[in-house]
Amino acid sequence: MISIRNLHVHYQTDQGRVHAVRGIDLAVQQGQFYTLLGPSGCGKTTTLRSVAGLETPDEGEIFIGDDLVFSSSRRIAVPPYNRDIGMVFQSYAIWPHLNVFENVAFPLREMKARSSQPEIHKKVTAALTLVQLDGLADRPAPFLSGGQQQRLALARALVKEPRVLLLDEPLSNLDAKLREETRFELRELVKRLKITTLYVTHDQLEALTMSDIVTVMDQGRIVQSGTPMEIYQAPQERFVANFIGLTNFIEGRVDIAATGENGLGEANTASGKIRCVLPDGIHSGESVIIVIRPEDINIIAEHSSEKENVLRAKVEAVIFMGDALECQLSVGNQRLRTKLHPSSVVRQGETVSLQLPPLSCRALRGA
Amino acid sequence: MKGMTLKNYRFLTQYGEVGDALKNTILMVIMTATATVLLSFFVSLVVVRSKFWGRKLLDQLAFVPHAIPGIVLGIAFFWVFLKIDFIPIYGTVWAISIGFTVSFLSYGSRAMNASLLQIHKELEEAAYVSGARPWRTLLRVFLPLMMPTFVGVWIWVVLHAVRIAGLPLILYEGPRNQVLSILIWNMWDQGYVPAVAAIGTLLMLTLLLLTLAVRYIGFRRQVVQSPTV
Repeated sequence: MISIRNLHVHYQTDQGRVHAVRGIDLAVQQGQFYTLLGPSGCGKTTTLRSVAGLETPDEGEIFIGDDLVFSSSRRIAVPPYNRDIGMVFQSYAIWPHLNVFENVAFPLREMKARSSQPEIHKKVTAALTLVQLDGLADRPAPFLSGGQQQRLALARALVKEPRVLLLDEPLSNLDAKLREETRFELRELVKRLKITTLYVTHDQLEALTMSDIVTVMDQGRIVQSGTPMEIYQAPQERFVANFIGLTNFIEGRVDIAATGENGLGEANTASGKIRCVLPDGIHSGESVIIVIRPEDINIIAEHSSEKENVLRAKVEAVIFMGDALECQLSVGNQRLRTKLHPSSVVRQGETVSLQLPPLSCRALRGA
Repeated sequence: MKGMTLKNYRFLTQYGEVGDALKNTILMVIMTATATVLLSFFVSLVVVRSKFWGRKLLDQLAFVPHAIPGIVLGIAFFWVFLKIDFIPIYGTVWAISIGFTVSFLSYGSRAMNASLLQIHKELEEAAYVSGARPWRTLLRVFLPLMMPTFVGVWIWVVLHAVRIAGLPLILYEGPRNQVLSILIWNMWDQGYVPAVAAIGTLLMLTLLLLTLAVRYIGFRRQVVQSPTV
């Protein structure tokens, strides 16, 4: 439904020309919830704005459905008002001089094929009901709460029934509790409408919980793209592992190259030999970084029969997080963080045995 | 009650110069206020919205007249208008209008800058992605949001242009080119003190009504009736 080929965007700032997007290729399927995730300045918003037509790329092609809306080689740049899109801005961009009804009616009134008054009334009412703002139609827009403004912006984006919905960090201005509720509501809504959605966020939790596909961006490039589970469990680059969730990194060198079906091999590290899942085609002697999530590290009994990937560690700090107990451990110079059940009994200063399940230890190629 | 009389108001209708002064004043303040609004709006557009290399300089230039006393500015224009005698502007209300416009530009451009900065670009972008062409966006989003500032600057300029005498005193020439502030000055000078008081009273009433009327039109919420079908 959306297809982007070799997109390059520069823009001018007071500090000079910035190469914000450096060759992006992506394809969003019909009905998919597709998320661009990355830190600020990674080019995700610029990519979204290029799809909307609010930014003019220097190179590349953008299709919305079968319509070529931008092509540098064919000198096509369809202006935003002729693209079949709905968009929610980070600031919501609610027009303060219009009431709730007129904010939603605006796209219908500006359509080429003018709708009749009763038709506009019907569609606006339907859109307001969809976002649970029915009954507030006559209220001046500035008199809405943050959450209501966000839903009003969504109703305005959906009222024309566009083929593509573009969302630019729509939840970042809501407070934490409301944000969590809205995550599920928003996903449920766009799935029910079967509308193709391109979503931009810097919040990994939003990306993981809402998306069909997450594409992680950094410095204007795509780093990794996949389902939320793939991105979380099998990061292919250190950046992805680091950006999404808490992660431990252990540096080492391949000792025994991968054997068998699940790619398990062994690496030598400062903390001893660790069995881990090695990347394809890596040879012994090459350097790797082993990635393991805090929640995958177990603390085992002193004289457990478990012998594989067992490390002795000193507990440096214990932090009570409510739903978990976070421990900071040290194995020699190596620092590790682990998340335990809040009822675990671990004391600062004691020495414990850790077990790192080999299938949860994923090695990435080292620098 | 014995001391009260309307005879000074009747006197005004007979005093020949009042009619001209009134006409000149109305013409002058409308021209000045409108020119100031338009000029300061375009200056601000360049300063706030454009990437023109000299925009900071332009901003400073627009503010400079604020530092110049009205009399000094008047004398400067006096010289200019005498020099460019191929344009017969010296001594007319046009000269006064031009002088005032330049001196009020500093206030006008400040107010416009503040207002333009408040209109977030996303408000217009939201209109584009909603299907509105640029001129429709201008008409339905940008101008309605700027309107209170246009009206505010316009009234402010009218009120100041009517009452300031310094600059017009230097730029006017002859009884047919007087504005009310000069007429008041001259009549006071000639000893028509009660008549001057009468003009002052009328002026105050008129300006009060004007202010209320324009505020009502410009600042009321744009009320859009939702169709009740």
